[in-house]
Amino acid sequence: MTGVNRTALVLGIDPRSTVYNLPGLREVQEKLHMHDAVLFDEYSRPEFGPVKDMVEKNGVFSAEIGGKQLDVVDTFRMGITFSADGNIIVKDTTFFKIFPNKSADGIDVGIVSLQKGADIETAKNKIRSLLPENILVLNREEYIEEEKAYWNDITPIGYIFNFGVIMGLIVGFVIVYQVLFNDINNHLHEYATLKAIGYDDYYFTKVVISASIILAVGGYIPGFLICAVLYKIVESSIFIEMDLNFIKAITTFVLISSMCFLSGLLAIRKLKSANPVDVFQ
Amino acid sequence: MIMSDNHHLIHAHDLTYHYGSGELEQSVLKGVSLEVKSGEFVILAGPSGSGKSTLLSLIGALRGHQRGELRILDRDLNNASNETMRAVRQNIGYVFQQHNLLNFLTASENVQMTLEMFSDLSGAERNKMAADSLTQVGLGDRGASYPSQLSVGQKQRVAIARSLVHQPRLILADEPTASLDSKTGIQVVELLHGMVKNLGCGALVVTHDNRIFDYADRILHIEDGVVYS
Repeated sequence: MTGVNRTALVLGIDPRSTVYNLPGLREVQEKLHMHDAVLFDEYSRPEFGPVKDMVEKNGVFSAEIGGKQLDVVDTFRMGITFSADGNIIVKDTTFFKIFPNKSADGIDVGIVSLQKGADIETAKNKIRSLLPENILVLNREEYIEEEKAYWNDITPIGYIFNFGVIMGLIVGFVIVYQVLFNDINNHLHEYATLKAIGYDDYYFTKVVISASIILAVGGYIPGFLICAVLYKIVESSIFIEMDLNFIKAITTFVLISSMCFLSGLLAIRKLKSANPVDVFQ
Repeated sequence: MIMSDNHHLIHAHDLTYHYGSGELEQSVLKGVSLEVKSGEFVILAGPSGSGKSTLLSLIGALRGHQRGELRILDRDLNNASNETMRAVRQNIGYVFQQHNLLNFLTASENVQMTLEMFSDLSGAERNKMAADSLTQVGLGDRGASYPSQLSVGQKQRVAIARSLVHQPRLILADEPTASLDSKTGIQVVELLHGMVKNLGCGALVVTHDNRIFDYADRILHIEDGVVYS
């Protein structure tokens, strides 16, 4: 007993239901039939204590959840979110015991299981026609996108992340511009010499843009590797799955390349000041 | 386009140039006339501020003149387009007071920079021409050296190799001995002189180093924007 309150997501399910396909759940789901039984997510924040070890060592142990004394009977694996530090699964009747103000009619999210081979879109449209307009009917992918959109567009977390990306691009733009600008400035006399012997502006534009692309690629490769390591570190620290997938990698590369390209275009203006007449001064 | 006498690489007549305008106008060249033919090694001497560098920049098609007639390598530069000016520049070999080599390129690569403008040359051809040009200036074995590994005199010779590798019809040199010691300066001028005589091109060398006057076919003096033979 620590006496410290922590936030956990409570899922109330029918113990016979097979819709939750979480690692380790199927094997222990039958235990939810036990009186006041709780299954605990072993990927929850460590501040909840060594729950998995305690279950393995002592079997069932008692814990206070929502002001009710319940029994933690086993663990499963799910992973936390921004909204809760941990997850527990209880039988639906136990759920209403924890939250007496909730009623069986007040469902937040309902899952409909279709028979194998059923057409999802047809079923979706049929269900939608039967329900009020304020209820969303989504397939699995749409539900995932809806959640992402919520966190990205509506919550402060999404705003902060997006702002971070924009700030990163602006800072990167300024750094790359300064690098290119200084490089051009340091070689202004050489550029003027090349202009004097007959090189045209197109050539210099190619040189600067090439330099900016080299910076983009040269910066991206170590940046990607560092990010991959950081993702793992963050993942193990905050217990939230961090997915550095192909789309993210490509999007980041396109953004960085565009940023470097624009910096290069701006830095080219400095080349205009490379006057071939200067080499005869 | 007005075609000049084939032997006249430079034909300037009554050339004027001034900086500023109105009350601030300052004349730098006042009716300059001069000619340089193929195979001629001409020295243009004069004190600082006499208009030498301005005249050289006009002849080198680096900027347009304001009044008078100027034909360089058979091209009329009166109101010439940027493209024409650039085309003229590609046929001129410039030797500057400073070598202006790119430090991150080897001597050979610096020389090849002149040839990169000519897309009809293969990499192997450019490499061989650069090696030949470096051999001509006595640096055949230093092609792989970076400028930081060369002496000042050697750098200036690499710059000359860069200027001459494409066998220009005209060489313009601005104080080529200014940054060199006496012995190296003489070597560089001998080199330029030999190139002019062997290749049949022309050279206009701006200098006030009277040690090299003996190499000149003609010496022109410029003072207060006026050229005297």
